[in-house]
Amino acid sequence: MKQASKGLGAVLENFAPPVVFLALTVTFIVAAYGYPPSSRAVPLLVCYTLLVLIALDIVSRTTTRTGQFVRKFLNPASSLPGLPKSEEDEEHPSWHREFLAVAWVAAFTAGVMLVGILPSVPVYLAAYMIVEGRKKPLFSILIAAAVVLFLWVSFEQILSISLYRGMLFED
Amino acid sequence: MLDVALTAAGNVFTFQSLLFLTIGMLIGLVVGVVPGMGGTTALAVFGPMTVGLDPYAALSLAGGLMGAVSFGGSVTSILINLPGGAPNAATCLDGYPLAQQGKAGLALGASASASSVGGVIGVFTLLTVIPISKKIVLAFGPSEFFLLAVLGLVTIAACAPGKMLRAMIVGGVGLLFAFVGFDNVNGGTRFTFGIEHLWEGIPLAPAMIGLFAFPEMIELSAKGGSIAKDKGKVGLTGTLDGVWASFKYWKTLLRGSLIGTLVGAIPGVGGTVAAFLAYFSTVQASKDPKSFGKGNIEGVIAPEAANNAKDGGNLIPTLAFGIPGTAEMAVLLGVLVLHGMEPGPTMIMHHEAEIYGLILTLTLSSVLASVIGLMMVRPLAMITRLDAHILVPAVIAISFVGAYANNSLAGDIVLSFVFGVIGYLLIRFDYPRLPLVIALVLGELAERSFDQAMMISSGSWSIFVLRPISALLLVMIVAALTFPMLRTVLRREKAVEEFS
Repeated sequence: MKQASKGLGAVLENFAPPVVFLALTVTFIVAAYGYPPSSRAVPLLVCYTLLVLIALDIVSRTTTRTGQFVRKFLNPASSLPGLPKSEEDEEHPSWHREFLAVAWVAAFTAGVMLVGILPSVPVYLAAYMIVEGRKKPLFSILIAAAVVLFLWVSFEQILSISLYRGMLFED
Repeated sequence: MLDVALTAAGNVFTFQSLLFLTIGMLIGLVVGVVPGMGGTTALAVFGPMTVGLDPYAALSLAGGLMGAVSFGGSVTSILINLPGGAPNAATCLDGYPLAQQGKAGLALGASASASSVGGVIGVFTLLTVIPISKKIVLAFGPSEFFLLAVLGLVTIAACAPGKMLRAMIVGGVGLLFAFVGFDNVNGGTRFTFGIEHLWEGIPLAPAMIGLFAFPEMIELSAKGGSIAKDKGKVGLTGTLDGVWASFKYWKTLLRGSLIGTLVGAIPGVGGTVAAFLAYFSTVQASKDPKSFGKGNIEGVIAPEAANNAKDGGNLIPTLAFGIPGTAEMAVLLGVLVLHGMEPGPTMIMHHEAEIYGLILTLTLSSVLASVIGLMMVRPLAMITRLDAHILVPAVIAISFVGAYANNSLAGDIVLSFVFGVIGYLLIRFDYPRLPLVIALVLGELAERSFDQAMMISSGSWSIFVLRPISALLLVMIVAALTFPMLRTVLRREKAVEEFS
């Protein structure tokens, strides 16, 4: 058995997801009342059902008897932060590693939006392989060139789909 | 009918038609592998190029392409958890875990044989059903469509092992996302929050690419290594075992094929629902439901069979009434019109030989595409041995370009990234991702059908009970909701008994 995180962090990890869902649902409810009745009928039906479900989820995350009852029937396999997890639960990488991995993709997305697909792809590939993967520069550049060539041939040449040129270069 | 079928066969088994069938299959396999492209885009791109061709050659190209796309999409679903198209997403659930265990060959073999058999069953069902197809399609009204959408969502939530409540919440949020964009009732835009890109709604392909490809790549990037956790285990010796597995689990194969054909025949529902419904009905029917999602070969067979069988089902309303059930069928109708075949009930009377020719090419491509695909399996499976630091940036780049290529909109790349982050957070906080996808697919159909049903019944909810098919669907929804709870209680009681 491995010990999960405890204290305030565990409480936050436990209740943050339903609170985010709650905020999203409330945002949709507020927005829905700005539309004509026929347009908001079905979205509101979904929103109010969601409110009930989220309330049940919050209750199921408490250690009260009601919480245990709800969890037993509706979420029996879900784990609670702060409580010991089973060996079957998969170990996630650290938040730091995950953040770094997401940051690389975010930077690539920003690059694509700014200068377009064809320049961003080789730069992202080569930079990631050299910095993150510690690969040899020549090897990384060759792989990057091969991928960009594949994209250019398949999309621009065969499928005649013009790849995005970026905000800076798009007409 | 036999005379017409023989004429069609005579025209299909010519050098020209077989050449175009092969070209169509190769295009279908390649396009299927490219994320976000799918059969619709491929048909839209290559369909108009057939203008000068003989109708049989054109239909051979179209049939070959349609039959091969789904297997192409399955290859990436299994190897890198990146569905080529939305209907391939269900294959990721058990196909990718099998690849991680070094059993990519087994999964691809099963996928190939299940696709072939599913495709053939779908086409033969089409041949049987064509004479009575009108009654089947007309039996489904708005109330049935709405309840079918609800059943799809509930079944998927109920099958999330031990996380039904969380699955229903994610499904509800997915429905809210599906409401974004143009409103079918009033024509105005809703829930766009000032973002112009969302006027057309949330496009499915970029959302799917984000939800399925991104989280796995982030995890792989953070952990390092390769997709196959034990590189030494990656082998393709199991390919023939995989081919055989489809026949060993013949009930799963048959169930998936029939679900695919049936769902495919209902306009507007599509292959994604067919594949997921086949997958989850297999989970429900299994004696070991917990093994699904961890690399159960039946979890590959069922959606693959359904995915290919749905093409035969899709053709029922398309050929019988000229009602294209899916975007792919709408494009196919366009190709038929290009060759002088006017859509509608008279089409099958005036162009019977051409229609049977199309059915024959679809059957051939279902089988041949899998054979060609299997020949390419060995080099493809080596992808799972690649170092994460080479694979991750390449997959991210290709998938984001795929997200863009679907509509040629740069905003789709950002959307893909956003859905990728959502997908990753859902995994991180122990929420299932699938209900979000299903809700995105079904949201529009559910709302439109609900509005139409309410208009027909003048606001009375009795329409969902009084029509026989609606009532049956309602019973199925209640059963799908209560069955997992009852199963939990029974298992606990059994465990207590065994313990005492």
